[in-house]
Amino acid sequence: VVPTTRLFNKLSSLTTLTDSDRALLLALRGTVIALKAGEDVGVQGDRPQDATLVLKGVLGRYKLLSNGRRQFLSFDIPGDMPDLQSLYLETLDSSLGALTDSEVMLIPLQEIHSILGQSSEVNRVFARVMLVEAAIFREWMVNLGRRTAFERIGHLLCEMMTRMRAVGLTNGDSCELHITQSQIADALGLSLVHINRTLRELREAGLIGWSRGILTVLNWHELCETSGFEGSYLRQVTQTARDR
Amino acid sequence: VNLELRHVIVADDGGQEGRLAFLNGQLIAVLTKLSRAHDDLAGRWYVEAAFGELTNFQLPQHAFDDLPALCSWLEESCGIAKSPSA
Repeated sequence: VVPTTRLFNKLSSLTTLTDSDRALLLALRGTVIALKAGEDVGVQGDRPQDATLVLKGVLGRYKLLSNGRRQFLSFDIPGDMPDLQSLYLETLDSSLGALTDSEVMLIPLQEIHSILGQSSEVNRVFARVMLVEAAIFREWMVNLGRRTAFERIGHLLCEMMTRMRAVGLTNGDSCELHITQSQIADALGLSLVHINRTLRELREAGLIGWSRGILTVLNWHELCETSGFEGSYLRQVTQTARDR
Repeated sequence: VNLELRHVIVADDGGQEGRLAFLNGQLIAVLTKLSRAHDDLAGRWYVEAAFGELTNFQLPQHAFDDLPALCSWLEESCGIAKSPSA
């Protein structure tokens, strides 16, 4: 499989791409590297020459505060390019690291600029990707600011499942998600104890199952309803969150 | 200055042992002993909520080994000096 396939899957979930656009995207080349959980790709202040395409695993953007406090700003899955902003903003304003053992492809920014110059549709879809990402940040803000612990976790899991589905990483109502409770705590602004307690509530309510890194949504409709998840902000045109 | 603990039952997992912590008669924290449902954290003590001076501190994200360990943190955070003999 060509490494950029997931990228192509993701982009074509957002718009209709022609065969020549597809060829341009699949021809993107870079250096594939493996990352151990906890390893960084870039840290705040870096001036990267490459954009990172996630191939396997989960990466996350984060900021560190005093006292070792950490806030995850995003969870990035295969097909995502978490530092795509480096195309136009020279320095990283947050760090990017692997949450699980992962694989990424580092694509020279020049390569991407070059295909952007060759197709206005590819240009448009990359802009769309960055805008959808901003929409995801807006949802995360609502999550952090106003949703209850139950809603926060439920919403996050609905979002992850919907994004995984768009890049072909779901199996029915299940997907692989190896992130730890402590990483979720650092993304949702909750303590480990609270995450533990709330995941138990979600399980006991028959909404999810999650063991050995396999997340299963047992009642999609109810999970969306109780967590206030409405997936239109993800702008998936070819695969929408199912209404069952 | 005195720290007083009052025994309560907290509505978690069917009723868990907890404490209300008072500083000079004012409620400053709600503490719970984590139930068996918390797996490897079970039996440890956790700060559920804090008020007053404590809100200026970052609440511990972890659970304490036991109640005395949690009380030490409370005393330190509230600026209660330990007596030299303690």
